[in-house]
Amino acid sequence: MDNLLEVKDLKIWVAGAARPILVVDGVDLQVRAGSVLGIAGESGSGKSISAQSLIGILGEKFVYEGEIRLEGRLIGDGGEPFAAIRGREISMIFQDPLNSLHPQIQIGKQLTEHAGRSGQDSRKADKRARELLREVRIPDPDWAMKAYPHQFSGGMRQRIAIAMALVGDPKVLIADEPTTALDVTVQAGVLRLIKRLCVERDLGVMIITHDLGVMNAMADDLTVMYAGRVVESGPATQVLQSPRHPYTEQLVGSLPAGPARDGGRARNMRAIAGEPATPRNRPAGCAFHPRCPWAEDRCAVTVPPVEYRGEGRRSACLVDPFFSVDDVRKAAAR
Amino acid sequence: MGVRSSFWLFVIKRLGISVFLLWGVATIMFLAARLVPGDVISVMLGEEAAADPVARQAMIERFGLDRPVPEQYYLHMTNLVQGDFGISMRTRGPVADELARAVPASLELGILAGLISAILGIFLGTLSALQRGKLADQLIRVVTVTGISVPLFWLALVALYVFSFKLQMFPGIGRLSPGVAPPPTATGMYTIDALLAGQLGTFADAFMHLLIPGAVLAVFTMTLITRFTRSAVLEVLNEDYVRTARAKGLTSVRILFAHVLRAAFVPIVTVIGIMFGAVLAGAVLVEEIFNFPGIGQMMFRSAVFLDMPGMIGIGLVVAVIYVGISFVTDILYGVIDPRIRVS
Ligand SMILES: Nc1ncnc2c1ncn2[C@@H]1O[C@H](COP(=O)(O)OP(=O)(O)OP(=O)(O)O)[C@@H](O)[C@H]1O
Ligand code: SF4
Ligand SMILES: [Mg+2]
Repeated sequence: MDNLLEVKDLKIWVAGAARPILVVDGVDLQVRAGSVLGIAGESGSGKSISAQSLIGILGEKFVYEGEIRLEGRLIGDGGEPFAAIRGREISMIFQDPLNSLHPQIQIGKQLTEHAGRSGQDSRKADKRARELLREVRIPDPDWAMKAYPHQFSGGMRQRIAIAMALVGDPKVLIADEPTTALDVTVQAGVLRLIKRLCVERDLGVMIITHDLGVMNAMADDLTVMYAGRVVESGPATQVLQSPRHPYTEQLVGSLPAGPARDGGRARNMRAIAGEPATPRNRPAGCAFHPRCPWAEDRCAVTVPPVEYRGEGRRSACLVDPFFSVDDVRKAAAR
Repeated sequence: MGVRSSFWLFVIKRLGISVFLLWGVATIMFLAARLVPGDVISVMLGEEAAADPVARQAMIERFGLDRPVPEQYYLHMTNLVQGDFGISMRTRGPVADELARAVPASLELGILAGLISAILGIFLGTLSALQRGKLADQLIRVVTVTGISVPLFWLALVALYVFSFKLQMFPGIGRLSPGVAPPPTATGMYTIDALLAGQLGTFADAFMHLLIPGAVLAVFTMTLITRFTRSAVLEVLNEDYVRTARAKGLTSVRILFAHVLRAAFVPIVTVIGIMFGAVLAGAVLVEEIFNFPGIGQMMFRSAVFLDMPGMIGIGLVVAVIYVGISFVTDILYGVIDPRIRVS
């Protein structure tokens, strides 16, 4: 299937005390229409920064390089300006719904203030806002239009934020940990909503989460990041069932079997032994080598390239310890 | 649904609190006048007049000083409600008459100073926040540091000397130039009364007389408002909902006005409300230096003369203004921040 959003060799620097620090180092991402791309990785691995760079909302202290294409068209530097893309073609929702809506502006206003550019008049925009509220299952949209964010629960606010992201009829929805701040009981509802919108609207969804259980349930494709680089990507079920990269293997290995009793919290990635590498103190060679049980001498020297591993899968490991002859046979049989 | 009615409930509640506060202040003043050493009559009349039996008797009748304290209290309060603040020991006229002249004079000076400091302060503070660390920010910082450290009386004298005597750009002291007749009294504020009467020449003269003392009075509060606005705007710029606004594709101008400043106004309004004390303190000095017959000057002179009725009158007026301003800020709060109305 064709990629809706394609990111090639994304590099992001952040202004540091002495010189810029490379926080995202050559990330490739592909989002297909009507499917969910999951991004996983420890805290500080550059997930949010990468996502925010795709609509150009990183602050002045960030610089990026790389190719971002939407339906083949180059956007950002040297292409269509982000200002024309944001909210229209690519929308984004954030982690904390309690703070991501303006506390002093009525929901109705927040849902319509960015509709003007598509040439709608205000009555139309109003009607459309109500429809969107209905679509994200907000009870009593007429009342909701006049209400303020503090009059809604966290889950409801996240639904409103999603409705707001849909105003411009975007092709891509980026959700940065959309349920992390929510009560476990409402997480599932919000995730189901995102999945439903993805299918019904043929949206390309990119979802960032710490929760591998969520990944398992939601994601069609999965990209795993470590210290600002992609270490593994591929179809989500395959990556989760038979990881090819030692880091992914450790992440997945920390998943307890069976449904978690607390509804998902325990399935969050368990801390892997050793100090997580951040882009600020990225080890030479393979960034994972100080914590990797398979590490060899060369791992500390050579940066492993991201290599094709068959069936749409890629991973970046010099040793490739989970290589299996079965996989090769299967691949050859195709 | 309940949003509108809960707002009015909030207004009524705050109004009730304001009335209660004023009642408290008036009561405390009543008690204070009776706690001052010496008998009440000499305190209220001054030693000299108190020796005169006729004046003593008039005083006793006026305030019912021979009656029990609760009855005195009742009389005191009814007198106040009717606008009778007693006779000034300093002017020998009713305190109420002097207040009627001084309050509008100070009001027009204070309003001008308030406008100058709020408009300039919010503008400079916002600019400073948006240009954080850059040249404009640093220049504004120099201005505010200077504004806070320069003593007001010095600034007033220098301004008077430079603008009125040296450059002769502005008239000197007072409310009007010699020979200019005050406009017919409607509000007591010369600028507004002149406009109402269509006397443009008088308006210009009164306005020019306000400008220098108004600007001097504005300096201190303007610097504080600049500082507060800068930090409020910087804080709001980091909020998640500003990032959301950007992600929605709003223009940066719209984000600044509709989202950032709107949120930053909550702390700014508080500061402007609190700032009133500073304006009043400044008014005592500035009005004396510019010979501007407002409540600042009246306060200063009443205190110097130990004019008890004058001080009680001024005290009540100041209390009314304070309570009024805090009422207005609270209501403004409720208007700009829907979360406050509910609690
Ligand atoms: N405002 C900032 N200023 C400087 N450096 C930053 C800033 N934001 C992020 N970084 C750097 O970029 C790196 C990646 O941050 P990012 O927020 O993308 O991580 P993340 O993968 O989303 O983590 P989390 O799971 O905690 O959200 C961090 O390690 C941090 O060093
Ligand atoms: S390259 Fe070496 S250190 Fe890195 S994951 Fe593979 S085996 Fe481990
Ligand atoms: Mg993040």
